[in-house]
Amino acid sequence: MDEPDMDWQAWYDWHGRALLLFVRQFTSSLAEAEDAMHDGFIRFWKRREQVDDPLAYLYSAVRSAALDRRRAEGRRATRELEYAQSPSVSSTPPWQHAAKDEGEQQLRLALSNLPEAQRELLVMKVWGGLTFDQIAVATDTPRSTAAARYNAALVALRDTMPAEEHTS
Amino acid sequence: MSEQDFNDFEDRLAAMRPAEPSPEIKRRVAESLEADRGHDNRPLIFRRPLGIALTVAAAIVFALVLLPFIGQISLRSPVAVDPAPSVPGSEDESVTPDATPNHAHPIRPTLLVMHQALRQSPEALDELIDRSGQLALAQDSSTPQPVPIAAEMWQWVHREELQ
Repeated sequence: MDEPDMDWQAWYDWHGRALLLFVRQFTSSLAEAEDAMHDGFIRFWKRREQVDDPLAYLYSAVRSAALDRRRAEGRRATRELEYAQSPSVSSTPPWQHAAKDEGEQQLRLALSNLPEAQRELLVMKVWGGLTFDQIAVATDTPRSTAAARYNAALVALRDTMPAEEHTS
Repeated sequence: MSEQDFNDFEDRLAAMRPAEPSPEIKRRVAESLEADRGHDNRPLIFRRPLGIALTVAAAIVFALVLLPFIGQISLRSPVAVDPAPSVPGSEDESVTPDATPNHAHPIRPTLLVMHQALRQSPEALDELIDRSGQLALAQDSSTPQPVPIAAEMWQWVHREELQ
């Protein structure tokens, strides 16, 4: 699928949904997620020809952009606290807001119960279509660790999702 | 959880399609890439691969242009060893082909002449050198030397033949 001759629009259209879901878990708001996605995608497109695996680098670049923003946000914890205490905000985690439909809401609700390390792996594998080798490159973790975390995420997610959401 | 359960659950998750990003993000990406593309419209020479190739090519051409001049400087060097001495103004055609004129330094005997003198005897070589030195001094004093040194050298060289 990832043809070397694809233009940036094709890359963006194919991976945009998964990328936004991926980066959303590192940010406290949709706006920050969109900014990180923009920054990461630009970084990826400039350097895609210098890397062995463009898809792995795409997720790595977006991830780095999101983490950079999170680190730079010195008052992020304060913001989250203020946001959570706002009367107009429900008790659901901030990054779940701005869901477009019920299905997406359920998805984010399910993912919110997972640790961040498992959550990012799950998103990359299920919706991003990355292999474990690519995930290992993107997250700078051993392949075996990535596979183990992914399996653990599936088990945990299956246990937390309502019974009617999956068949066994 | 069996492998089939895993696969089924993965399929269920994949069917829960994430939301599409806002068109605003795509527009911002397009603007940023366009801005970078304009910034990258530098002169062709500065684009790294082609720039390196052109620089190397220019260096080669430059070296090729200079090379003949370097060669000419070497050819015009006054430290020439092949030609035999010749007196300025001398047009003695009897000069043996061996004693070819040394246009750069007419008084200095050639290596060939000196070698031939040495073959005769060390004393012959000494005499040749002394003679050429005397002639050099004589010429330096701006006194014209009508002696055809080339002819005399030839006589020195072929003394045996003449005797």
